[in-house]
Amino acid sequence: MIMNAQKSLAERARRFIRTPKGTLLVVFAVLLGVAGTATGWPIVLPHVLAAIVGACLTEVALVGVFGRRWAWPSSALLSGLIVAFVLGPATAHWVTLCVAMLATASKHVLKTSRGHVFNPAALALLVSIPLFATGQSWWGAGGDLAWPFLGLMIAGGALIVDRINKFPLVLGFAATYFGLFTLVSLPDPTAVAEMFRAPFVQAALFLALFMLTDPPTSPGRYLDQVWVGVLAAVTACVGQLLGAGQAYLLLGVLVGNAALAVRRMWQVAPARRASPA
Amino acid sequence: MAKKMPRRLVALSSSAVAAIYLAGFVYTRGADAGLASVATSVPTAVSASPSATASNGQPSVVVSASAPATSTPTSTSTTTTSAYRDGTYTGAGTSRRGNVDVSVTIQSGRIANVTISSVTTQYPVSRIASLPSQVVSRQSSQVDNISGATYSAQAFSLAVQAALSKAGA
Repeated sequence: MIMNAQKSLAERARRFIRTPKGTLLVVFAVLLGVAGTATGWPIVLPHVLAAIVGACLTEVALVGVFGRRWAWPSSALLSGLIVAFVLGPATAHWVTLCVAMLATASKHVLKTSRGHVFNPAALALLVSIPLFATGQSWWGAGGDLAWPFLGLMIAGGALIVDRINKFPLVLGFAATYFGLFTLVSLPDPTAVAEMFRAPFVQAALFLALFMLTDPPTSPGRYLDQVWVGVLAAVTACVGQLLGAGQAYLLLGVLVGNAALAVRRMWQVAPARRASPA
Repeated sequence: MAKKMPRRLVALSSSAVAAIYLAGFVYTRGADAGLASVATSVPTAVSASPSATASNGQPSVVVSASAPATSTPTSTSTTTTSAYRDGTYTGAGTSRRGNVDVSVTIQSGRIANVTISSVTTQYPVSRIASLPSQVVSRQSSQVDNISGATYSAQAFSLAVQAALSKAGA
């Protein structure tokens, strides 16, 4: 009996790992293992736990409040990890907890029939800047680590991007982002020199690989992927050049999310009007 | 769901992106070094806004450095420390990429302790962790630039200046 239960649990775990969310969780676990060891577990562990607990408990509570079917809060877990990776590990634990709670709550509040509108972690992190005066270090992206970690992150990111078929989105973003900064550097190299260096490169790639590609908030069609990626990159670059400070990448992904939501509503509205009553 | 992008096309596009990145990286290489040398002399054009209190919601102590009991000034800084009044003073420095808040403790007219109380720049705080000890050892707000965290170093220096101006008022 116990053996059967163990086998069933192992089989379910194996099946979960094969899903995109499961693969992403494994990739995040590897990144956390390396970045956490480099940063120092006494600082990192309570920070990560606060984010995970905040995100998952809010998910469980809201599922109960809205009377939805219980499901393992894997999305909340991933949102919590992203919040933890981006917020500085020295952030007060109650702040990390609140930001993670905001992330999950936003998913349930700002939604359409197709799912949530904004990347939950990105929205909560942006709101947390004026709300809690948070600092964002993107330590989970390995901005402080040696270049091999960047290779590890890109490899893990490519694995998940391939699974969810979002290469045009990521490549469109990266080409536009680095292309625009290269163009700006022609007349004034000092204005954007740091955008090509750590920790900004790592942060931009982490955002492109793991946040911009969030399936519910990113397009499926290749053409849509390209323009959303380009729009997000242009917004991020303009935000950076206009002095948006640490928010510039988050603004990019959220503007891309909003544009996609408008586009989806615009597509659905005529279809509804055309359908017989 | 669209059909998967051919791997050859993915590889080709990724190479193109890498080439664009490398072009920018190489072109701005000298500018990055220039930034570092320019920032070594602390700019005064950037605004420093003194803050009355520590920032809300932030870790109260991020990085700090204290002077050893027998320390002596090692720098011939233009800033004299004898005019400072004892106490703890806060200061905020701004830069294009965010703010740094510090608190500076003056004991016997000297800078005894500098604490970074919050950082809202995008750089990891560990990048500027060495700066408080520089202020204490030099008894001056003038610090070395940190390559890769230029704006944090600027904001830190301005924050220390703001705190010291309160202490000297």
